[in-house]
Amino acid sequence: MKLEVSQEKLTRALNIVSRVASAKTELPILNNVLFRTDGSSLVLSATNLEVAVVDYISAKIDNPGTITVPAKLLTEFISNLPKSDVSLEVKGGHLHIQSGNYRSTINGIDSEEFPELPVIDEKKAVIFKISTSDFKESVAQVIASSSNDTTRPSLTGVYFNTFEGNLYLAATDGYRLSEKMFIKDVKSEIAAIIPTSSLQEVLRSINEDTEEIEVLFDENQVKFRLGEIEVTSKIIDGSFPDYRQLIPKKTDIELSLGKEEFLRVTKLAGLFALESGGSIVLEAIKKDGILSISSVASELGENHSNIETKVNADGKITLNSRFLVDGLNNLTEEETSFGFSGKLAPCVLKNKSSSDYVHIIMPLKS
Amino acid sequence: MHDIWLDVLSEVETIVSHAAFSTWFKNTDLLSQTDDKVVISVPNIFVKRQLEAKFNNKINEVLKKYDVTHGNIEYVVKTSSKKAVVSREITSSAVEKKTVIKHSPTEKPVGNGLNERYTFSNFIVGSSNDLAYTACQTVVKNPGTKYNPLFLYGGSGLGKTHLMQAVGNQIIKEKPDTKVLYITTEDFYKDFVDSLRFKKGGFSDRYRNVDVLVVDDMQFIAGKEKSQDEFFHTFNKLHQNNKQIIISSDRPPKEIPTLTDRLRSRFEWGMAIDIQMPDFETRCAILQAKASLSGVVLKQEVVEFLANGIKNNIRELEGVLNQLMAFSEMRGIEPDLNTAEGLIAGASQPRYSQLTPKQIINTVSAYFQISPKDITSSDRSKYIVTPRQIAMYLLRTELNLSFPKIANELGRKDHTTAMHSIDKIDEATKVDFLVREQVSEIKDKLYAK
Repeated sequence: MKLEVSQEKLTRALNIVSRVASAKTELPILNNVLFRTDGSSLVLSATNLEVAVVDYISAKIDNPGTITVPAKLLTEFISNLPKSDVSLEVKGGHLHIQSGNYRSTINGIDSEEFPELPVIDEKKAVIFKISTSDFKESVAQVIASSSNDTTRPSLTGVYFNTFEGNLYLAATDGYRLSEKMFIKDVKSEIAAIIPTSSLQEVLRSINEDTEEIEVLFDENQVKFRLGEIEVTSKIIDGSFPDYRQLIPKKTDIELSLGKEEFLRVTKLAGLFALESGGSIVLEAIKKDGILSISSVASELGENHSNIETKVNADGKITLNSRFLVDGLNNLTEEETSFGFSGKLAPCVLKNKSSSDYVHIIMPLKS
Repeated sequence: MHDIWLDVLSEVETIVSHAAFSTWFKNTDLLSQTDDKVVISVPNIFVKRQLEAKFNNKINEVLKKYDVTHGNIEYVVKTSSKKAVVSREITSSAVEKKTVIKHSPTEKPVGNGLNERYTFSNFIVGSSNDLAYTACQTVVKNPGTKYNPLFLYGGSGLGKTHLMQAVGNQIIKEKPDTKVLYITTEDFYKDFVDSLRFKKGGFSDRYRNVDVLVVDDMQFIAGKEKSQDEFFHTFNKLHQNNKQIIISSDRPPKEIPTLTDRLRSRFEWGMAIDIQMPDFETRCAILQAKASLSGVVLKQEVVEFLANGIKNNIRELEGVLNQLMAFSEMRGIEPDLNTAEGLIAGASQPRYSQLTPKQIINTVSAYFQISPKDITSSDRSKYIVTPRQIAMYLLRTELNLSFPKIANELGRKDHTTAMHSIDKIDEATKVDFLVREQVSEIKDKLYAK
């Protein structure tokens, strides 16, 4: 293999691809990134056997070929080179790198040992297309609610599921739940849990040039195609809770609140809630027309704030301030609709004027 | 088969590196073995691809050594029972998820409106509905002859639709050629109006050329005279030809307002059966059956708590059970009493908190258009006695007051009168439709915001 490629392109590709090359597995080859040539492209791949990332970059190829080299070392070396063309050449199992007066040789491992990456049969796959901005916004709105408790694998991902003709994303860690209507009017049926870590790779791989993301599903895998970058992930084996049962259709108390103000008082109350595990008390008082938010830290002091708003009924709920902050941050409009029904039922956060996103939080026992 | 695979694995272990072995062969198994192929299960798509591409020959050799005859090796990703659904078209399972599927003839006159989920085998029989259940089974055996029409009535969420659909499904199962059509009265009405408005033909054919016509929610035909006419003719045509007709309503034929007499008398020709509120045991049985369908075992205390908490609507009961199971699954906990208490409190909190004895007395007197003073007086006129008894009954059922307390609320010293009155109304709600209707309407008023 012998080729020339721009340092900037190569750095960007290595930064995206090499993140998944990890030292977590027993197989040393997985620490490496695979270089191969494909026509006039240089193809970089890496995998941790849960997710694989492949990036195609254009290069001036003199000689086709292939090699694998340690991802971390190579990424740091290339990114510190000056911005000009880099020449790469494979000789006797080593990768020779040259850029101006900088020269280096890195010992590689034969690419024969690099695992074959899964391929998806595009004729059989279910394919969706969505604009990059919508994808980014939707996934970001639900991903924080997913769990990292590996004893319950089905909650460690985002549930892509079709319901009444629309595709939804949902995630929960057992204490809160987010649901987003992802794509309207789909003709296919999907119910698959995609690992949160894989989706994070997709989000990190998005660059400004990609306008549209293609999502391809088959029964065992999902592939996200972002222009020249492809992220392929396994699907989590398991069943997602029947979460629609948990979203209250109606709540006794319905409030409309400015998001910024609600967020501010929640953060303030959270400061005094550290020793009580983040618990803050929200109380809607009809006759005064306020939502009062308070927290007590026996040693530090206490906090008490009111938001003036129209209140339709009296009620009280205790919530974890951190979850409430997370939930509010997921909302995209300035006006927030906040609903709850007493101390035991979950509360509901929504954008005021659209219902395509729902976030619910379980109350804390007070 | 598993043993063969263990032998194969120990052989493979000697020819590949340790790291490769533990990465690629952990959690694999031999699933099945036939003359032309061997199926091996693998934990994920990455392993599948790798075994296919890099290890297929080695596995092949070793398998041959162990005399596993085969043509091809197929690798499948192992999934638990509920695997990911990926399909290009909406399959029947997606349709099944919806709880209600209604035939809408305006769009598609092809379907028969039946939902296969409703069968006799998943209908729980108890004393409150065994008559209706038996009648429905009789209809399946002798469609069109024995009970025609069969008229089922009872409050919402008690299983009328389930039974009627089960009849349709069972008939089709036994005699696949039978033409069964399930519609709601609303569908019938809309279809009829459309046929008039757009001068569409074929309206009457659609309904008159069936062997079994099932019509749900007949009470909605009240006040729609032209539809009643049309239904009358449809009814006659089918009935003359010994085609089975099954009708449901939330009240008996004589209670449906503005139903023309000729239609009413026809509804009364056959068999009219009342489906009542299920008793406690039936509610428990329903909960247990539903839970075990989902593979969940509920503790007796939870079952009893739910059955006690929701008394008069099976649909609501199932709703709370579904919530409880979803909630427990999400939290990764066993469905327990605590969780159930939270859900019931969430579902019907206002029912138990805000009501006062005074409100009940006022609401009852307003309903019967008498003064609250009459109820608490000692007047024994008939038009006051019944409302007074109903008030006592509600004080007992809704607020769970003690008998002496109830007597006290109504300005009486002797609590045995209260006991007697409450028993009387309790009995009456079981046999007398009018009383039950009155009690339920008063309850609606009590809980209406």
